[in-house]
Amino acid sequence: MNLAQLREKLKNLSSLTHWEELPGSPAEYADFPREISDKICKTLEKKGINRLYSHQNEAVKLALKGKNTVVVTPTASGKTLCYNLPVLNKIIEDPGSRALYLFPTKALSQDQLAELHDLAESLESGVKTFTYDGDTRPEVRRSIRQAAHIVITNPDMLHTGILPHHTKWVKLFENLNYIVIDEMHSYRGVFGSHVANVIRRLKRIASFYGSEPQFIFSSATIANPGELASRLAGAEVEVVSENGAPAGPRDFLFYNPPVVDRELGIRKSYVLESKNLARRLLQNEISTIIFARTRLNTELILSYLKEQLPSSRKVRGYRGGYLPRERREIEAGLREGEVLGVVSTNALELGIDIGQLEACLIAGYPGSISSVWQQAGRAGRGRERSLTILVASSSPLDQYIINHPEYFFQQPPENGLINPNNLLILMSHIKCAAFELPFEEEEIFGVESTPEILEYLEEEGVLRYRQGRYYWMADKYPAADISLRSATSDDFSVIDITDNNHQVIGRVDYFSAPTTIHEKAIYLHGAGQYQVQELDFADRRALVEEVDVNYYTDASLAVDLRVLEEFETSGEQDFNYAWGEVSVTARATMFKKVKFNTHENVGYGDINLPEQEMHTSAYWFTVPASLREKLGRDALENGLLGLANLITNIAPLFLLSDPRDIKDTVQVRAPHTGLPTVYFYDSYPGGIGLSEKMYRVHDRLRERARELVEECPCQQGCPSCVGPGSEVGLQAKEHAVLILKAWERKDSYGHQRSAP
Amino acid sequence: MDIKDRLRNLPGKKPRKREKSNNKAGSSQSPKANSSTAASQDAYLFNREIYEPDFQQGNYALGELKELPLEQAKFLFKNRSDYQLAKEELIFLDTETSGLAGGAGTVVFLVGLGYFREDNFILEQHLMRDFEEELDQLLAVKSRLEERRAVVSFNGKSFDLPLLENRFVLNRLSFPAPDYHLDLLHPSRSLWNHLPSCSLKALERQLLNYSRRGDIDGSEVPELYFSYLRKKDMSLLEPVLHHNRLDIISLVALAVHLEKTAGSTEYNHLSAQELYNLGRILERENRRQASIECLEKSYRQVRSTSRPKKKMLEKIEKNLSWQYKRVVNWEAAVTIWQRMIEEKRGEYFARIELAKFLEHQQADFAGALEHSRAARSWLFENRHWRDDWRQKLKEVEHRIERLKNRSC
Repeated sequence: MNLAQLREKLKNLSSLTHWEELPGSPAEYADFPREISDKICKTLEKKGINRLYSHQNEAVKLALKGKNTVVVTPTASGKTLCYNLPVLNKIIEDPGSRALYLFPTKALSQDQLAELHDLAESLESGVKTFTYDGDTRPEVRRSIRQAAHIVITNPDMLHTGILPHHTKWVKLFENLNYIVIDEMHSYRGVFGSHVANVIRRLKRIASFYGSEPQFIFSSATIANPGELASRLAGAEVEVVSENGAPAGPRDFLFYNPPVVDRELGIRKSYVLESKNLARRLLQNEISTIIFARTRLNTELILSYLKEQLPSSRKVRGYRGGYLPRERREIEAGLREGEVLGVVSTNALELGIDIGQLEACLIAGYPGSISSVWQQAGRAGRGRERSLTILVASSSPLDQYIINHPEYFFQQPPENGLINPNNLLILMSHIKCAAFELPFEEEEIFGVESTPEILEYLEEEGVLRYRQGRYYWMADKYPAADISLRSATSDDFSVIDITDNNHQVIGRVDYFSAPTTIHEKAIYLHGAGQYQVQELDFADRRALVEEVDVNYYTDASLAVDLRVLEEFETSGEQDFNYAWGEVSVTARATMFKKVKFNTHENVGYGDINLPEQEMHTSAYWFTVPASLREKLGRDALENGLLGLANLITNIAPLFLLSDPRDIKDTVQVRAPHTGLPTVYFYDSYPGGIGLSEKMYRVHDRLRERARELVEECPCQQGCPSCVGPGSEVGLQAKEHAVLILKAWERKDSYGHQRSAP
Repeated sequence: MDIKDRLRNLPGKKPRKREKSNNKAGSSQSPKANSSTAASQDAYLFNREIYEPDFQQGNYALGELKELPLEQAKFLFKNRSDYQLAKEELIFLDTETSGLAGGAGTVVFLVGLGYFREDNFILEQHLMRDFEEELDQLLAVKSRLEERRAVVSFNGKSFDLPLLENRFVLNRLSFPAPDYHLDLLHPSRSLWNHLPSCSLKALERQLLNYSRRGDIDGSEVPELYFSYLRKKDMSLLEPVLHHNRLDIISLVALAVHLEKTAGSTEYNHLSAQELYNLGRILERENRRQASIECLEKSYRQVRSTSRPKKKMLEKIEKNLSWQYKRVVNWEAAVTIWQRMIEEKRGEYFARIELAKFLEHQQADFAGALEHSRAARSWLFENRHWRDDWRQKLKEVEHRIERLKNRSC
C-alpha cells in the first residue's frame, strides 16, 4: 500500500477526533538583492540556487539595510541563507569583518558548521569558519581567536569561555558586525532570561572595543517573535514572517486513544497506540518520523517496532546521548532513504538536515502548538501529499487539544516569554559583567535600577567603588558558578552510585530538590530510572542508584503564600484577579508512587526536609465568599483545588512553558483578598513572566478550562481534567464547574449592566 | 519593596561577609639592600631597592650572573634565539594578582621588575594601591619593559605575561611584548623532574640552599590584597611586597644555578640524576655525543657508589645502549646488555636487544634464538609483574619462529 491507499484505510479509524486537509502552497520567488556580490550569486547558481524565496529576499534586504531582523519560518524553508548571505557578503566586502553565531546546543552548531563551511569553501574567498566550544582542542583555540571570520558557539560557552576572556578576542570584538542567533524560540523561560543577559554582556564588551553589531535571529513559529527578539537583543527588531517556500498538501489527523475505564477516566496507553499506528505506516514502507516525549518512550517505541517489523524495514532511534558519529550516520541514512523510520525525542525538531519524510507521528502533544508544527514540518516531500498524526496522552493539555482541533488550527502559537530582569538572574550577570569590565557609576545594564544593584553589591563587598567606577573584587570567577540552565547557583548534584565509579549525572535546582530528589524519589535521567538512596541537604547532593520500575514519584508540597505587593488588579468586588509579588514558603510533605500511563497510585511515603522560602511572581483570582456558605469549607477547597489543577495544566496553551514551571495553591479565606482565592506562581525565584501573562489572558484561561472540564467524559474527576476524585474529592469536578459558571454569570451580568 | 530589600531576600548563598583579617603580617625580614627608595607619587606606589653584586641569596651572589647570561645553557629554552643577550638586556619579572584563575577581572596589582645596571641589581616594585591607579602603573611598567629585550620569569609564559597583557588590552594600551622570554620553569622542570616539587620555593630549598622564613604562600595573596583595599593598611601588603622581592632575587639565583648546571662542558659537579636528565635533554636536541657523555658520567657515578640503585642503573643502561646503537657503537652497547643480563637488570630488554643484534648484525641465528628463548622464559616467570606480558609473549614467540626457520 502506498500513502494514498493507506490514507483511504485510515479514514475508518474509530478513534480519530479530527481530519484536517491542509492545501499546499506554491513557492514565491524573488531575485538576489542587488547588493549581494556576483561571486556569491554565481556560487549559489552553481549549487542550483538561481533565486531566493520571497522571505529570504526580504530578510536579506533588511539585514543589508542594517536592521536587526528575525525570520520566522517553518522547518526546511532555507532559513540559513537568510543570515549566511548578509554575513558572507560583508566578509567578502571587508575581510576584516567578523560574525558570531549562537546555537542553543553543541550538536546543532556542528551541523551548521558543515553547511556553512561548504558554502564558504566554494566561494574560494578564504572565509574562515570555526566552532568554538567545550570540544575545541586547546591547540587550535588561539588561531580561532585570531583568524576566524565566523565563530560558531553556544550561549554557555559564550558565558563562561569567551566573555570572561574577552581580552583574548580583541580581533573578534573590534570587528563584530553580525550576531546570528538561530532557533530563537528555544531561548525562553529561565534559559532565555539568562541568555538575554549574556547578550547584554556581549553588547557591552563589543561597545568597549568600538563595535555595534547587528542581530539576525531565526525562529520557529511563535506568537511573539518580534517581542522575544527585541527583548533578547535589547533593541528594535524587524519581523519577516511571510513564508515563500513551497509546501505540499498535508493530512492532519487527531487521534485520541479510546477510554477503557470510564469511571476513573483511564484511556488506552498512548505509547502503545502510537506504536501500532507507526507499525502500520512502516509496514507499508512509508518513511516515517515518530516523535516521543521522553527518552524512555523513544526507547520503548523503538524496541517494540524492532521486534514487530521485518528486518528489511530499518528503524533507528535518535536522541541526545547518542554519539555525534552515530547521529551523523542516522541523519545520512534518513536523507538517502536507507533508513525508513526514526523514533526521536524533540532533538530532531530543531534544524538538523534529515531530508523529508512522508509521514510524521507525534506520540503525545509536545507541549506547544509551535512544537507540533515544527515536528509536522519534518514530513512532506516537495509537492507530494504528506501525513501527520497527533496521538493524545491523557494529560489535560493533550485532551484539550485533541478535542478542540479548531483551537489548534486557528490559534496563533504560544508566546515565548522571558524575564531578563528577574532579579536573581540579573544580579548574577551583573557580577559577571563587572568581572569583565568595571561598571561606570551611571551605567545601565538592562534596567534603570542598575546603580542601586551596584551599590548593593558594593555593600556586600563583591564590588569596590572608586572614583566613579565599580570594580570586581573577589578571587573567583563568577561565570563558573552560574549555570544558564537554572535560576539559582545553589544546585544539587545527582550522583549515580550504582557501581563503584561514582558519577555526577545531573543537577537539580534548590527549589526543585525537595520534590524531585527526596529520598526514594524516582529520578529520570536519559533513558534510565534512578532511585534516590540518600539526600544530603547540607552538602547539596543526592545519591542515586539505577532501578527498573513501572512508576514515577510525585511529591506534595504544603505551601504558604503571602502577597507582598499587588502590581495590577482587575474585576470587581467578589470577582477580582491580579498579579504581583509573593513570598512562597514550601515544605515537601509526602510523595505518591504513580504508575506510568494509567496514573494509578501504587504507594506513598513521607518526606522530611526543611522548608524553603522564595519570592516570585503570582497571578490569582477570587471566588465569592457566598460559595463558602453554600458548599461548605471542605467542598469549596476541593473545588478550588480541582480548578487550580485544571488551569495549571492548560496554561501552556498560552505560554511556551512546561506545566511544571507553574505551581498553584488555594486559600479558602485568603488574608490578602479576604475571599476564597486560587493562586498560580512561577516556580522560579523572581519569576520568569509566566504569571503576568496568565493575568493578561485570565478570561481566555477560564473559557478553556470550562470547555475542557465540561467535555471530559469522566464522571467524578480524572487526571485529564481536575485530577482523580480520589485526590481532590468526588465533587471537585462539579464544584470547579460551579465556580467557573459563577465567573461567567458575572461576565454576562457585567455585560448587561454596561450595555446602553 | 525597595530593590535592596528584594536583593537581600534572594535565595542561595549570600556573598561572603568581609571577615576580619587575621593575617600575621609575617616577620618581614627584608633582604638587606644597600639603598632603598619608596616614591609615593600621586599616581601609584613605586619602590626601588639597589643591591650590590655581592648580595647573596643562598649559594649565590647576584653578581655571579655572567656577562652573557645563560649563554651555555640556552639549549634548555624552547623557541630560543641564537642571538646573544647581554646581562643588561634582561629584565626579571614577577607579578602578584587578585586571583589565580585568570580572566578579564583579575588585576595585576603588583609588578616586580629587576635589572642590572653597572653591576648593581635594581629591584623595582610597581604597586597599584587602588583600582584607579592601574593606568599609571601600567604606563610605568611599559616604559621599563621597552628598555630591555628579554624577560626572565618563572612560569611567566602561562601566568604573569598573559595576565599583564590582559591589563594592557583592558586599558587600551599596546602591550610591550618582549623579543625574548626566558621562562625558567620549563628548563627547571626538565633538569630537576626527579625532585618532589618544582615550585620556585622548593627549588630554592633544594638547589640554592636557601629557605624562606616568615614568607606567605602565593595562594594567600589575593585575600591579603582585598583586606588591604578594605582597610587601607599598608602593613597588610608588606608580606606580599616581601614575597615578591624574594621571588625576583631567586629568579636571578636560579638563573645562575641553571647556567652553572648546564652551562659548563665538564658537568663534574652534577649529580647522577641531573646528568641523566641533562643527557635526555641533549638527546632531544640531537646533540648525541654530548648526550652520551652525560649518560656515561651518570652511569659511572651510580656504579661507583657502594650500593647502586638498580632502577636508576637500568634506566641509564637502557638509554645509553640505545644511544650507542644509534651511533653504531655496537661494542659498547653489547657490553651494557651483557652486563645487564649478568647483574639481572632489565633482562628481557637486554636479551631482546642482543637477539636483534646477533640476528641482524652477526647473522648468528642460533645465538639469537638462545637469547630469545631465555627472554621468553624470563617473561613467563615474571608475568605477574608485567601487564603487557601477553603482548610481549606474542612478539617473542614470533621472533623465535622466525629464527627457527632462518637457523635451519
